[in-house]
Amino acid sequence: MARSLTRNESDAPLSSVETVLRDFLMQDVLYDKQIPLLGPRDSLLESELLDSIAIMQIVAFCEQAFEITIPEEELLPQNFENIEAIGQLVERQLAEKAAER
Amino acid sequence: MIHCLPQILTETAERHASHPALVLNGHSITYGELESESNRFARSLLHHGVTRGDRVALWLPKSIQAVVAIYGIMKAGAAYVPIDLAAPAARMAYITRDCKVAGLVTVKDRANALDATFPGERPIKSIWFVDGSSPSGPASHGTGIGWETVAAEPNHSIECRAREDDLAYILYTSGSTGTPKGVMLSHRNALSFVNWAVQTFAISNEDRLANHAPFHFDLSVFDLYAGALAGATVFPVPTHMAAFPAAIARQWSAQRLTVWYTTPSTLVLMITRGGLASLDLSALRLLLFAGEVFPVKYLRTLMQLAPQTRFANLYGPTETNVCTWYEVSSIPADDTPVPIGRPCSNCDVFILDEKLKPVADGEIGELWVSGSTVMQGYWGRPERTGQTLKDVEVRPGLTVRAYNTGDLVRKRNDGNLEFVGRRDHQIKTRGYRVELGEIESVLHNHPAVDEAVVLGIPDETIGHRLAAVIVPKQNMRVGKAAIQQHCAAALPRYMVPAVIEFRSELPRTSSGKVDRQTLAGLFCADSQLSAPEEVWQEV
Repeated sequence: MARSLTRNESDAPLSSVETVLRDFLMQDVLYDKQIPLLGPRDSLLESELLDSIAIMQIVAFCEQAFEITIPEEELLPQNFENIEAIGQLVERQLAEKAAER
Repeated sequence: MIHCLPQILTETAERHASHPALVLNGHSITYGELESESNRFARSLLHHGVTRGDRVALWLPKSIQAVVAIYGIMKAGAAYVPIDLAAPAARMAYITRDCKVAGLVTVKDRANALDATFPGERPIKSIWFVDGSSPSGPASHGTGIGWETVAAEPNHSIECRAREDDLAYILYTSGSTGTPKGVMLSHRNALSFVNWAVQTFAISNEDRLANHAPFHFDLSVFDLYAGALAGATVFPVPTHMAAFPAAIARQWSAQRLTVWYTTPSTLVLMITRGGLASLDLSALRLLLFAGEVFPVKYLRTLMQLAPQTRFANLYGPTETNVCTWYEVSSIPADDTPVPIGRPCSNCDVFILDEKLKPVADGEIGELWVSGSTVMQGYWGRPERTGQTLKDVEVRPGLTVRAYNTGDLVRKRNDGNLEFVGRRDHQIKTRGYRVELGEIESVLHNHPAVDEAVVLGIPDETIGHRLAAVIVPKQNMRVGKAAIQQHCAAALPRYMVPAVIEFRSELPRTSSGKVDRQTLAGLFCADSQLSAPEEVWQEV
């Protein structure tokens, strides 16, 4: 299956967390959807590219890849609206984990 | 006299023109506006050559425009074919080709996908974009029509081109031979159910209905048309919200919804993760559930959380709409499953043995359904239609055309029917009906797969979870992720097996068939050992 992974020059620079998230989304979740490379603020929810099973996949990936736990009260649409929002959710959990140490 | 679905809207728009018909994402539309907007869209369809008897596909997010399009398509005399947006583009391509759609309604951000799916061809004559002007793109898009062209059409009333026996919609469901099959429902089929539902549950224009089901799922027929017939307000939930039970629960409570109709899987999620206990559910007067068995312990919790609410289990495959129902007044202490109840007043049901003879009371047989809600058949598959829709002599001298649900049922002493199981390989997961054979056929297309068996492992929260056992071809290596990606390129996500196991051979019965029971037993015994990822995929 052809994957469109060419870099979009107009993209804002991505943080390292955002880059990991984008690669995961493009390669493991949305690879069958024939969409151009996602920018950090491209809507993931309104376009209905993600169903509930895909969102659970993203949560599982984040917990594993960043070694964090995403609490249930954070399972809100605004935290999954785009790559930037998911990135911020991950950063918050990383900060909390660091504070606990 | 109403004989087709869009006339429901036209009549309600006369009586309740300024009453909100739909509220979604902070936007709303009144019945008067929905009527005139759908008149415009019907005219646009007619101008582009759509005629009575055609099919028009919907490939767009749940939105007010999607409902405008649905009514417009039916007013033009065509049937709407809703397609799951989260499913792979290949499935959209299969469905649009299978029923030869005359048009497709979509949004601009799917233009690329359309182009990549139909390279260098124009299988769809006209494509409407509901979110603005038509993107200028390659010829494979067909004629692109922007919404501004639709908005320029006159909005006064238009004669409904459809007649009662014309198709209103085609819903594609999983097919055992490897491709989905289109269930054809006429206006009469749908209206019969809608009239029954409004009457039975006394839906009124004071009601506020949740619409949780996507439009390609037949539960949406109740939400849209029972809501419209009663002049009630419908609150569609965007499809992606299904992942956020707490957000849905809070929204439903804040919107003071009076009627919820959804699957037990959804309700279990709302009970376990939605924080219902801290919410005000006092507005909820009616809760209907359908699509699968509701685990009794969760239903009991829900009934305690909403003591003033009326609860009912509605039963029926897409082919029959709802054909039996059971009002749950209390739950027995011994956790007996909720029965599927008695036939609706517009249906007859028969429990027949393999020779198509009625079984004795209390014995198990297959459930056959006849009546005005039963489908017209499967699109383009007369043979498959003939296998399930038959003239059956149900009593001496009485032959009726009836649909074989394939569900095994038993009549209890109190007259209610109880669901016992199935003989074939059809299961329910997350409320969706899945033919395991369809997944197996996709797996067999993988170059490294020699043999593949897919099993439905009973699961308390989602009905069944899917497990695949694969024997790779000799000297070939293949991993779990590759198999899942292969499935996801052809199947909706809910049909992608969460568990993949590789074996060098499959257990066989003495007759040489794959021993599915032994395989299923292995998974049930292993179920506590699931990796965290699989646990997430189950919810």
